[in-house]
Amino acid sequence: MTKRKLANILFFLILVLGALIMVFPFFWMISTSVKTPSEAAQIPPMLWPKHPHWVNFVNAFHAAPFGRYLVNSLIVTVCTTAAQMFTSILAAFAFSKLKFWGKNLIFMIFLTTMMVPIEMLIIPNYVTLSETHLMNTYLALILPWAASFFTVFTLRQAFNAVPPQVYYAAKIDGASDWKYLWTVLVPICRSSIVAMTILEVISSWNDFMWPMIVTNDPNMRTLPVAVASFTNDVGTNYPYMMAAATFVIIPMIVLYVILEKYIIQGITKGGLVG
Amino acid sequence: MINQKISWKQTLHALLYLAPMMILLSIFFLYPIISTFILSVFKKYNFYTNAGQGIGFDNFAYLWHDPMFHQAVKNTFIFVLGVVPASIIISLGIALLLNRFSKVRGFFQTLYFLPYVTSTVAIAMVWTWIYHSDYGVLNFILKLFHLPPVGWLTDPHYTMLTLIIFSIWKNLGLNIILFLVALNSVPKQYYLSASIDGATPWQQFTNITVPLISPTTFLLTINAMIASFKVFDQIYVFYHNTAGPNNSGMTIVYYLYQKFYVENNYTVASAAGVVLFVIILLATILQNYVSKHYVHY
Amino acid sequence: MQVRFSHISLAFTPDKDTLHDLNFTINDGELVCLLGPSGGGKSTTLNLISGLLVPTKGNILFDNQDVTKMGPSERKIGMVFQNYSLYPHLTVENNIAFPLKIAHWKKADRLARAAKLAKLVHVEDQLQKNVNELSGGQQQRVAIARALAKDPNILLLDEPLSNLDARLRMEMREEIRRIQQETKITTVFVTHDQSEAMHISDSVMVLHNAQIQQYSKPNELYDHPANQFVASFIGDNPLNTFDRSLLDDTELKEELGKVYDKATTVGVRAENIVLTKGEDTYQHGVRCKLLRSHRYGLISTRLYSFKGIELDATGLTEIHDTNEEVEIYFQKRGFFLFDASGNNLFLE
Repeated sequence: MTKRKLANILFFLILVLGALIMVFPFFWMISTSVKTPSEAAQIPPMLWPKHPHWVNFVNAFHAAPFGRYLVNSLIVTVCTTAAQMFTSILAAFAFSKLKFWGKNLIFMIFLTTMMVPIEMLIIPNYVTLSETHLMNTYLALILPWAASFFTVFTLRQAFNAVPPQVYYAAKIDGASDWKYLWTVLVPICRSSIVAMTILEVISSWNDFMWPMIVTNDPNMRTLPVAVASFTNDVGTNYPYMMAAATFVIIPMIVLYVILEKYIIQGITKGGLVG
Repeated sequence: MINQKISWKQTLHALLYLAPMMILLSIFFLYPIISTFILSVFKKYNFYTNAGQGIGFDNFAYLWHDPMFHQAVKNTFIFVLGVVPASIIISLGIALLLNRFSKVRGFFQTLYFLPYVTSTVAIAMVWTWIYHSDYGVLNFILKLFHLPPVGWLTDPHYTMLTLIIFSIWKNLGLNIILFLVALNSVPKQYYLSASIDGATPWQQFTNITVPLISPTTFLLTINAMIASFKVFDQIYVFYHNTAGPNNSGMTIVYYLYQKFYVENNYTVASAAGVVLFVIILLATILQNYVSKHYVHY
Repeated sequence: MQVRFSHISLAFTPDKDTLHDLNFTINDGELVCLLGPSGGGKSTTLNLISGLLVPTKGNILFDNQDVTKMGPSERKIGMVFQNYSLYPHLTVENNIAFPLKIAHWKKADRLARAAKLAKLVHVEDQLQKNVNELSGGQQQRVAIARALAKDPNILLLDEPLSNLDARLRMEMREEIRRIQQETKITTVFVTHDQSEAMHISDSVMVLHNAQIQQYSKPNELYDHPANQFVASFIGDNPLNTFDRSLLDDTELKEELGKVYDKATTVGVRAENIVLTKGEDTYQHGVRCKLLRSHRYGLISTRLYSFKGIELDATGLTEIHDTNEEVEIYFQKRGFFLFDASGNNLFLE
């Protein structure tokens, strides 16, 4: 066996070991979910129970109003993403294709919002929403994220890549700006738009700090908030806690596996912007 | 159309497209930025009337003298130093290995990226179980190597290590993907001509790969730093809504949260927010400066 | 539809006119080429007709109706861009039908119209394909069909062939001519390729330096160029030019007569230099020396030296030695005298 071959085998083993480390917590989550509490606490740990208690998922689901949390998360994720894509597409179009006074000034002003840590904005936003009596409403969960300059910025770059002649051709064909945007520009840039949409779905679904702060009412919790406070409901029942974590994680993993191409595309386009 | 002078009508037309974004970002981003700065210099603030009294730097003086804030700043920097270099090196190594095995690259890439798309809170919950002192897998593995068990979540000495290991694991995938993009954008003929010149793989790596991907490495470093400065979710979960045993996991954002949400001290929390803002602003300025002067796409 | 420009000027910056005081008429049903080097104002002129650009001064009339203030969609024009600008997310059929969809045609009607146009431009078997699957020539056909969809008054083509390879360019050139003759639509065609313009058009407008250099039938341009710029821009071979004073001591000066005194520059087409005098040449020649010759296929090119300058000659068949001194004669139809501002003195 040559030195090179030996090195290759070694490298491959490192890769496999790394992948096992990456995947193990997910496996351990599922495996613990289907154990009894005593099986879970066994030493040495059992890799997979002899009789998986799949019913744990059902019980955990009913140990707290997870149905309600799921609906909350779905509503918030869908509305936030839809609103953010809508406002961003409109703004990106204006910045990319329209001519107007103050374009650069407006762009620069809102560009600053990309550099501010959102953790810093939580206090004033909390005050604003309390004063408008929006605490514990879906609006409180959605409105602050219904626009994002990062999304505007990324979509504007995609729109800029469409040659101006296509815009002129559409004008000659009689299309208004509105028609051009929705029947030509958006379909042409659909892969960028899909990529940004999925990234926003993921970040909105996983968002924790803001939903935790604006929802005192347990009925308004989203899934991550519910999972973080689930210990209060079930104490140290780890199988139930792992099952609850599964509820949050599985939808995004399914989405990721199906739409990986777009997610990677969005990450590589957006990731190098800043 | 192409050469028309900009008119009020066109400007109004464009503003209609911009209005939703401008209104929302003004209310939830621009106004809060200003508002945080103002709050941070109020001596007193009444939440119910949203009115402040007295202007001064008392809140910053408070931070300056608060040992808890010192702890938070120290821990935040320890966290950044613990996570960022290790994460960059490991992800570059894995990206290089993935490039070697192009046939299975897609599959492994998917696996390595999984943690990145999952909820920090939910997967941190899983890790509390892995880190468990008595029943955790990690201590079991230590035992297999005849090492003493560690109180990952209970021993204050291990708090930062616990957070750092988890955070490296969680965000590795992002850096791997971006490194792969950078590695594959290095023109192949450089490697061809280097191997004709007799360069060993290691020489090729240090003389071609490292310099050519250095812009990406730099951007990833800054981005990872910015993200690490804001660590919060995992602390909240690991230590059940506390900053760890003896506040050993106190970070700037956790401090902000604690002052704001638990102690309702809005002015000091805002001052902490301003400090965070300044730190991240410096990192962003550095990033912009370097990408303007040294990075060419 | 007739297109008329009346005192049109266009300035992108206040101090320099991109087009200066343009006046012309394009007759109904004609195919007119706008020809000139890049930056000469031809695409600008086309965009003024389309309404994508608005003139700084002057009026544009379509059949005596003033359209200066109208936007592109109100003018009822069809336009084909250099890069085709097809909508990449639509099929061939939907690309052609897009303008009709915008105009709220019923689906059945617009698909029927698209099919008819596809037949006209010979892409009827590609209707369901995505436009990215088509070759450049086919994309160009689709772009033409789309431009014709709304039955426009005028068809505008902006360098439609420059992205195609040489062979396809010839084919598409004939196709555009055929489609134009079948539809009898007034067509304006922008090109920088003089031979393309000469082959396809009813009339050619040469644009250079923000102005019309000459606007006439293709052969007129070749036979009677208005000025030195047109004479050198039109024709497959370069125009030999030299200072008039070089002819001062030759008998040719006497033969040219009074007009000779006004001239500053002489222009001779390479294909109009011959070695024997005849009825179509001036009776006096000039003495020169053959420097070198070169043959490629049917065309042989020779370089003669005449008083320190070099003259290109093509189309000579008589063989003689290098460095041998011979008398060359200029055929009248390819011999021009220009005054200081470049005007062709023979046209006066």
